[in-house]
Amino acid sequence: MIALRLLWREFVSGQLTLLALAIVVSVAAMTTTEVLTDRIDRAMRADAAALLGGDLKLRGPRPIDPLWLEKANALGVASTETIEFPSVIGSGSKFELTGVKIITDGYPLKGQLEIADTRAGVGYPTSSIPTSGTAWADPQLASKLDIDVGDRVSVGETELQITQILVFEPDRGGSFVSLTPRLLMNQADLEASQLIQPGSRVRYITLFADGDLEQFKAFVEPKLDISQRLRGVVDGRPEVGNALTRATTYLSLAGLLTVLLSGAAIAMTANRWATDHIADSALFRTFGLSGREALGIFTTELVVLGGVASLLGVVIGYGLQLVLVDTIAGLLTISLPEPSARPAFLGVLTGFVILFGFAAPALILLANVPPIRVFKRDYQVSGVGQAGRYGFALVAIGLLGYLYSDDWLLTGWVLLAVIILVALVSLIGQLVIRSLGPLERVGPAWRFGIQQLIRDPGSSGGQLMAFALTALAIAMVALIRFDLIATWETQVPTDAPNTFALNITDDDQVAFIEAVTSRGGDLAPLYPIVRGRLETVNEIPLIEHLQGIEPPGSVRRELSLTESGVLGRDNQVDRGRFFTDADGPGLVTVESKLFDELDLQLGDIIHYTVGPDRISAEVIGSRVVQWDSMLPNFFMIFSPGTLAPFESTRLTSLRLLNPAKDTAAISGEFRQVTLLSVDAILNQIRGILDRVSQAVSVVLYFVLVGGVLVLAASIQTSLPERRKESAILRSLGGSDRLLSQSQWAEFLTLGVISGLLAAVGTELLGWLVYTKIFNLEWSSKWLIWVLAPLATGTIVGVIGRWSAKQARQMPPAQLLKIADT
Amino acid sequence: MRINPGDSVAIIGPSGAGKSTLLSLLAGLDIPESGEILFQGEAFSGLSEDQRAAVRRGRIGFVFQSFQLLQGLTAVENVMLPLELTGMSVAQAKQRAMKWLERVGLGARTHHRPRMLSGGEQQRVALARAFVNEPALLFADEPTGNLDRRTGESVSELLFELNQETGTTLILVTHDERLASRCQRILSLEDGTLNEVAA
Repeated sequence: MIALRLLWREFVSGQLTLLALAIVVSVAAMTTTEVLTDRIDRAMRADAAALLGGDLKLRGPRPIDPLWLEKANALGVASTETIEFPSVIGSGSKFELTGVKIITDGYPLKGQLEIADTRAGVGYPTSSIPTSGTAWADPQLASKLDIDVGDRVSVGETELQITQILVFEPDRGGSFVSLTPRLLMNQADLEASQLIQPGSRVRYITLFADGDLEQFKAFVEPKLDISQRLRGVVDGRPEVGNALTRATTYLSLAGLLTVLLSGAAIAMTANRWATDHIADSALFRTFGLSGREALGIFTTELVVLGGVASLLGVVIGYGLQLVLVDTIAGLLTISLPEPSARPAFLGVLTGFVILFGFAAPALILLANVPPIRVFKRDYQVSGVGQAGRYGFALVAIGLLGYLYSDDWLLTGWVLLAVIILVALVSLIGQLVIRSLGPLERVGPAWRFGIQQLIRDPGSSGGQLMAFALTALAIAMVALIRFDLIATWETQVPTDAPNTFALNITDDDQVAFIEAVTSRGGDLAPLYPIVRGRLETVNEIPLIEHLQGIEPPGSVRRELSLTESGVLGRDNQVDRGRFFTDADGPGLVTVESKLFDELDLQLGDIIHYTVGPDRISAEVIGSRVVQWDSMLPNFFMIFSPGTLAPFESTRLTSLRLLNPAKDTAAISGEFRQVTLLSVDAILNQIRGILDRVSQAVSVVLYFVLVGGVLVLAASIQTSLPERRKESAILRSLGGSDRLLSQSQWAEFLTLGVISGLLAAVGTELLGWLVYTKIFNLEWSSKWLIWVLAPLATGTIVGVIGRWSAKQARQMPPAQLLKIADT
Repeated sequence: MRINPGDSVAIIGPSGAGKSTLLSLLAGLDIPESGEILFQGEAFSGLSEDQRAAVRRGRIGFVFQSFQLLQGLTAVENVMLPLELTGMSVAQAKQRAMKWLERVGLGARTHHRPRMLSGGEQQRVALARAFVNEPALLFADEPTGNLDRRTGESVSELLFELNQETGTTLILVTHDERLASRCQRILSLEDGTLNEVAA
């Protein structure tokens, strides 16, 4: 009862406003971000699943174990089986090696097929599949066989009628390197075709979606053998998966920073609150209460406050999230799933963890107040030591970090960064403060202001740390918001190609380029394509060279090989070198990942068979390839002249202004050239980035509010002390002007130094976050070094000056009435 | 009422009689609604807060019941404050402050912060701060009020000693009749009227 009455009185009198506000804001921020992250994450995964054809994809050389399908069924997981194998498809006198895909009703589980009614027609989505006796050919197969809708093709022992042109297949992937023509047919015709014989190279692919996927994954994973591969959204589609992982990582990182800032605000206000209650605690003790009972009163007060504030925060969080979803909704291609209750629970938990993690030292201080304090006001109360304070805070941060990110590694990095930053900022801060002497010569007001800083390094260092870390948090989130997203966006430039062109013959080359450019389109370079299979490394057969390890898929089949003297702008040499004009034929550079998978060394000689012939080339470098650039990319690029003896067609990517119209016109002009639209994939990636930008902006605002809270807390908690100081100085004859100027000098200096420290911190933390968490390259950001000191100097200076003005409102005559020291 | 240079005056009276209010009026911390207060012939009324501060600067010193030292500064830095406000260089101010701290018997504790000093020691620092710029007028508000009797006596002993040495005018507000009796004049404030009790 006492606790509740105290709580009410203190709340009404405004003593608890800032503490309550800090809890409300942190809980609201966390709830909003959590609900939003949760919903956007689920929406993005659904989108990405549409590009995989399902949520999970199992691939193997044998049909799936029926027991697994039963298990999936029991767990509510939908499934559909497809079979893929290469086969020669014929029409009249023409034959073409084609990737045949057998599907059944239900395919695809996520996303949609797109078809066109004629070879030059415009694609549209469909949820049907080829019926028995019919098949769908892709534009490449249609142009190679020179067939159109209505023609018949021979498939093994049977004949099928082409009823549609297949424009887009969700689970085909974004890699255009080894594109073979495609034929889609119904499982009902499989037996009649007699295509699958013992020894056929067949891939059985089962797609899964919905239901309890986690449990299903856990069931299947241990049972996989070496030939089977299970892939999810994230690992199945690297170009989409990367964006997803980065986005969610970013959001949890920003969430953690909000927690940190709110925590700092709570720690400061709670400490003030405890100091204000030392006398009350002593009084309770004289009434005969034990330390534990006195603690009980104050703890009850905080629990009730925390509970009410957390609930309020959760309500605000859900409300705000609704408003935000409304404004973002227009940008989303699919609707967001409904919010779940988990964030509400997390929100309340956050309120308590953050309150007690950061306010525990204050409570312990109150429990340690001896009754003698009633009489001896200057009696020192020993609270928790510095280490204990930081310990509590770190445990709270760690706990919350894990709760929100589900990622010990990320939490660990953040904790480590926090510890190092706090240590570094306080160390550098002390050094800088001590070396401010020369600034005193600016004038009397400066001298006074600067001396305040130098003489009380404990208090000025504390403020410096609060300002610097706040500025750092804001700088980091803003940096990531603007820089990181800009980095992603340049990876998918707005002028990214939207169409691939295959099978351009040497004779057509010039006319084709002319046809594209005359319609206002752009082309990447034209790459000659020769298909070949990797046979030996240093004259040792590949299997032996890899010592029984399964070779990667890209070399088990025929691979598109090319030659070029120019390194693409989305390629980067990470080992060895690229070709120069001085190089002759017979050299090769290998994609970096494949280089490792093939266990190659610079100087190795590799042999490819191309039909009956052989190519041998020396490996002189490896390239990191950015596969999601939508430009033509290759695992193997030979030096110019190496492929000259072989017949080749050319491949390139285009950016067409009016893809539908231009594609129809160009493919009408060049019947044998295949044009493939990649707009769908491109838009998908852009859509994800758009959403991430939105979510990230929201989080930035929360971090800003957190920063304002820290500033307000640090000013409010130091206000009583400052008031008294101002009054003392004025009783000694200091003028209002001198005090005002000296405080301006003091805060301006504090602000500028905080900004500089924040810039140092941003460089360190930025490097850490970019390289360790986002796997991006970090480059020094000079703008931060200018902006951070300027902005914090101005903001801290203005706010400090305002607060100092508040402080000066206490008339010195009041000093005579303050009995307490 | 007129107080002459070099006088020592005690103002006594029961709690709530308005002793502290009178003191703040005399020191120009506040201005009276009616009447006039002249310091060295200059009227406080009609001056702004800042102008009154300028009058106080270097000429008026204070000793408060609750010491009112800046917690963040060391003893010597607290004593330096009034000198620095008059524009004296740090080195000079420090030298003089050290001298005064030695004078009040705290030569060994110059770099301690207030919270590391006892009540008596804090009040000695406050005395050093009050005398350091040799003010013409010193106000003391219950200077021993927060101290035990023995400490209080040694502090008041020091106060009068310094007062004599410097020839400062002293205006002292107190409950303590023994302390009041050490002043040349005693004024009693009761029911809003001020009476000369003894001279």
